[in-house]
Amino acid sequence: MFGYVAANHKELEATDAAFYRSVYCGVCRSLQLRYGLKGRIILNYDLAFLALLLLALYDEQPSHAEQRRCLTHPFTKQTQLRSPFCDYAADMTVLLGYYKACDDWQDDKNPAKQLLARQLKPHLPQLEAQYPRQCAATAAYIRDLAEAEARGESDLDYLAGITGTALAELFVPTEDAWSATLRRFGFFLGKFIYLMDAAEDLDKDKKKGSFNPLIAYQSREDYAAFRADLLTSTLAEAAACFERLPIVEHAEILRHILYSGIWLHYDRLTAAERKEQEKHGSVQGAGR
Amino acid sequence: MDPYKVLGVDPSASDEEVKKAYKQLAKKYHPDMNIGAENIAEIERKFKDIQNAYNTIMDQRERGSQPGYGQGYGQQGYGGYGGQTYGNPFGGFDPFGGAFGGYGQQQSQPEHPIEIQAAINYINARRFAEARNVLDSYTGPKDAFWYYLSALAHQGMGNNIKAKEHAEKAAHMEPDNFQYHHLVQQLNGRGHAYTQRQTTYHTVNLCTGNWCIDMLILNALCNCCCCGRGFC
Repeated sequence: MFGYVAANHKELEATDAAFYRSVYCGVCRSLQLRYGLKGRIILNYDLAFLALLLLALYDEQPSHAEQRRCLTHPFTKQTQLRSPFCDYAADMTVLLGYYKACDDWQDDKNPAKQLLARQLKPHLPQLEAQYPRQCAATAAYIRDLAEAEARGESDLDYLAGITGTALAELFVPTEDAWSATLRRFGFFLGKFIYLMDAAEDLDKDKKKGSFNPLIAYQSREDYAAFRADLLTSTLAEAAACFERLPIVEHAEILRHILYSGIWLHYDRLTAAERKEQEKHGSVQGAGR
Repeated sequence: MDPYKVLGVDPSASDEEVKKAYKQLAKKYHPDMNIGAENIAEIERKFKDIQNAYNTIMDQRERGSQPGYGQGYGQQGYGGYGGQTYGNPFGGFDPFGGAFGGYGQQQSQPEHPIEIQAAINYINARRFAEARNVLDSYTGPKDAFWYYLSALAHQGMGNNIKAKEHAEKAAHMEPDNFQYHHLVQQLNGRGHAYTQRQTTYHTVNLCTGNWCIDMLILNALCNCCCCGRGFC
């Protein structure tokens, strides 16, 4: 999706970093086996996070590690975790990737996206048969977002909720005692991702004249504080869901992602803004 | 049955201890671990019991730390955690009855216009979308109480942004009303808990290094920009 939900792996303990990486490589391996190279190029951190979350939650499910060289690492063998949840995350990656590619093709007529959509399309009937609920949610996500943007929707809860509703379904592989919490987790994480993306793209969208609901808020004097509060309070709801799940092993990696790594883009954004402000300030100072 | 007894932990156990206790029992009673067992039906029942006990404890603790905090959001299949149902949707206290309220669910509060009373009833029944409809089509003056109800309906539907906005508006319109301030506090509670926990994990570090890009020249660039110092 957007790759926000990632760990800052420099902050992780060595064993945690190695495990996190083996899950990431495991999802990549699942993509390769199920979809070939076209699947691997759409690998992203957000769905590797989902694989890790489900692995940690359902740790009674069997998984094993394999050592293998791969295209991006031809010389050193990588540890790849093989698990039904890596397969599930790979399937969800392709599902989201297909709809995103179609949408991007319609929006900016990028031929690469059209090619990708065409390559992924043959897998869709199989995915639809296996995951009707997730497929319907993803299709609705793309459709509702396009509709909302076309009419210039300004309601942040509604707009962010579109992504939230889709991610809510993707977070639930099967209905069980944890699905209500996982749905809520996915819902608020999806909302956060939408808002973070809007915050990050604000200047770019403004220049291009693209839709961005935060443009209406940017002139507020307290915009920076408003934005921080918006993101924190939304993510806090997601984190509260995580804290109620019975996750013991690998919980620290997941917390590192949810409380720190996920803010990487935001930290970059505010650092760039601060630099811009300082530059602006020093120019003003020199003029005086 | 007492959920703590089911998991074999003391009520004073930390969340972490409850999770560990659950995990241990789950490994023992997971149906996948007992394939072919004679008493599989009993094992499955036991497994469900420990899952329910775990969710019950988490629900209770959530309501304990944030009294009145509604669980779940809405009727679109997201409502409530863990499949437990409670008589009182607002947990620790009922916003419209009992301890803090004069706002009765009973017919004994005739001062509310019929639409507002309907919204109260819908919220109590956790039918938040219907409460929303009634509130949005209400043509009377939007006073602090309307904003309070609106905040509750938004919260129930997962609209955390508007819930906060409307709760703050209600508290601003009637600064002396304890109930409105209490709701604002509850809505901010999760954010506070988050930022508190965040201090353990978060240092500003502007480079993660993508594993597969690490291999490329970008790695060199990355190392230049990445100084690992904290800004805050």
